[in-house]
Amino acid sequence: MKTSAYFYGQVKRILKLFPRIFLLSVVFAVVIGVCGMLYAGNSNYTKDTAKYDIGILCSSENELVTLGLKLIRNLDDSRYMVNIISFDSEEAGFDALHANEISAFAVIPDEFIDAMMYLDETPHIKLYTASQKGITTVFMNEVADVISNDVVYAEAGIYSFADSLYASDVTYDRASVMIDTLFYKYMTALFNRGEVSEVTELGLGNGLSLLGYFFCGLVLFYTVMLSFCCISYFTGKRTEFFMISASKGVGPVGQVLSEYVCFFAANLLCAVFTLICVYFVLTSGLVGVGEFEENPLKSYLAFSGCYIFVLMALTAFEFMLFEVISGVINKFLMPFIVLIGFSFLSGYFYPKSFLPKVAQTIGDVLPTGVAYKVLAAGLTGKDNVLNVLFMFAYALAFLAAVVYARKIRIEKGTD
Amino acid sequence: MQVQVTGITKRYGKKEVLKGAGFEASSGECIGIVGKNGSGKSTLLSILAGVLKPDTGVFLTDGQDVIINSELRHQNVAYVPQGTPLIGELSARDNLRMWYSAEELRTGLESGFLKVLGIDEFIDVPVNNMSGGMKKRLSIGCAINNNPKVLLLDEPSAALDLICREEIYAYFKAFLQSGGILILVTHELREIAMCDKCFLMKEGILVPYIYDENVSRLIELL
Repeated sequence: MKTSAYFYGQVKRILKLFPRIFLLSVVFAVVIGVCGMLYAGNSNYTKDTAKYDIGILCSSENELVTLGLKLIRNLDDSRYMVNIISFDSEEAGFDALHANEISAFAVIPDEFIDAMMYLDETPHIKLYTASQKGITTVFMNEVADVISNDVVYAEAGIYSFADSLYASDVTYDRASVMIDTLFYKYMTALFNRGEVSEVTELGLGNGLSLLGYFFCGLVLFYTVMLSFCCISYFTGKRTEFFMISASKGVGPVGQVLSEYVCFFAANLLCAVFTLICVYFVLTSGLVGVGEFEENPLKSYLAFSGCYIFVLMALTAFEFMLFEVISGVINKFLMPFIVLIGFSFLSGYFYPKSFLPKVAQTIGDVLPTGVAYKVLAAGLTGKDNVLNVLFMFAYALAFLAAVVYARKIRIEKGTD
Repeated sequence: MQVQVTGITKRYGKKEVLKGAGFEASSGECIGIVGKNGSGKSTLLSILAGVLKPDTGVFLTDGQDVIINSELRHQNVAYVPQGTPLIGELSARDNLRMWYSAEELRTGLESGFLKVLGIDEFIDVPVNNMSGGMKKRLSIGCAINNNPKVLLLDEPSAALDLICREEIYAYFKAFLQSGGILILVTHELREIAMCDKCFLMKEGILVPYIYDENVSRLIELL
């Protein structure tokens, strides 16, 4: 009865504060969301997923060149990273290069194929790049190198062999079939070179895709910062109120649980609203997180389920920080520094694999680190029971610490 | 009602703050406890209020130890700590509703002690917009929801203006006339003068004093 009276007071209080808390959380979510979307759409990430556009100018009448381009466009592994765009003139290619529409421009002279047959290197393939563009230039130089030193000589060998066959006693038809077979085998070997290796994407941190990783990090960063929207709930507390409540039979346990439920509920309402908005952004196609693509609603609900456990532990952690730290400025500053540090160590901003081993180990056991594992497992559908139990244990430990701190505070009668 | 406080001791680490403090009081009596800052007055009051547990000692009301029987303490004892034990964002009504049922609150405001305290005049004002006097009256109002027989107050008139003090003293008189026992920790001579018995907290024990109005001084009885 007495604890319910105390709880009633806390509910009334959080309801009074909630409009301001909610507005702050929305502003905060928008700021983090915009930053996240800017990052997802920024050049670094786009460059990671986009193909290089390479312009090419060559004779459309030469069957070997057009066949080669067709094969590269449709069969070669390079089709995943290179778009070959044909141009009619050098001017058009240069214009596109200057307009940054293509990364490089290759001109194959008409005499190139004939020259190849006689190992004459005079009519080079000419490769142009707009400027010194780092990896693009290196890439183009490598392409030119491979063409000059491997492809050209190999194809020249085939053509020389063909000339020898035509000059021999073998009939023309028979020689043509043999040359075609050899050429086909050569092209097959050339285009199947990718099969000698197998690439598997293990993902960043906990097996997430790049966007999945940053999605988790931003959601968690939003969560740890969300509590600061509720700072007024903590700065307005008075020890005298705890004392009079204790004298009426509402001890530290009843007080802390009542306050925590209200604090958690306020955080949860704000987070649910934000997660719903994020879901619509994700399904609208503005940002595509691979982990949600197969079954968006089901995956998102599973993720949100895990998120509740995370929120439970992190709010308990922040409740403890706000309880043990006294002074309005300290109440804001100290938890902020602690939470930013913890977020950094737990890999919220970039993969913690970049950190020293000791820092990684610490990051793994911090509540923020375990929270990351829970969300990552929620996103990838991996087994999550142990991590969730850890979250529960953390929440209980933090609340126990708050109860102890409250007991001391009541006994001392000071903030 | 009879109150007996005997042999209260309390130690913080190596420091023994209370070394067997005790006193007796009857219905309608006002007990004043004075002493230097840090002498243990508020600690004693916190123990009597159930906020702190003593190392030893008893607090009997009509022969029953309310330190052990906390339910009886909740029924008979009310405590108003120093400062403002209220939720600042809420109105007086919301603060009172935490401890009173709707019916109790209505009755209290119409004809009970809440009316005597004048809380009905600012019932819907948020605590953050109240004056010091309003807050103190509301604090007392929140404390006395159980119609206590014993009221413990820690420096009730600290930082209050004269008019507010008079309003609170008027309530004290009404409370004493109704047979209640008032236990004040105070530094105010005016409040000391109101007391039937006065004790000085000295080295962890309560020493009986009387207040000589002629010379405005405390005189040791022993």
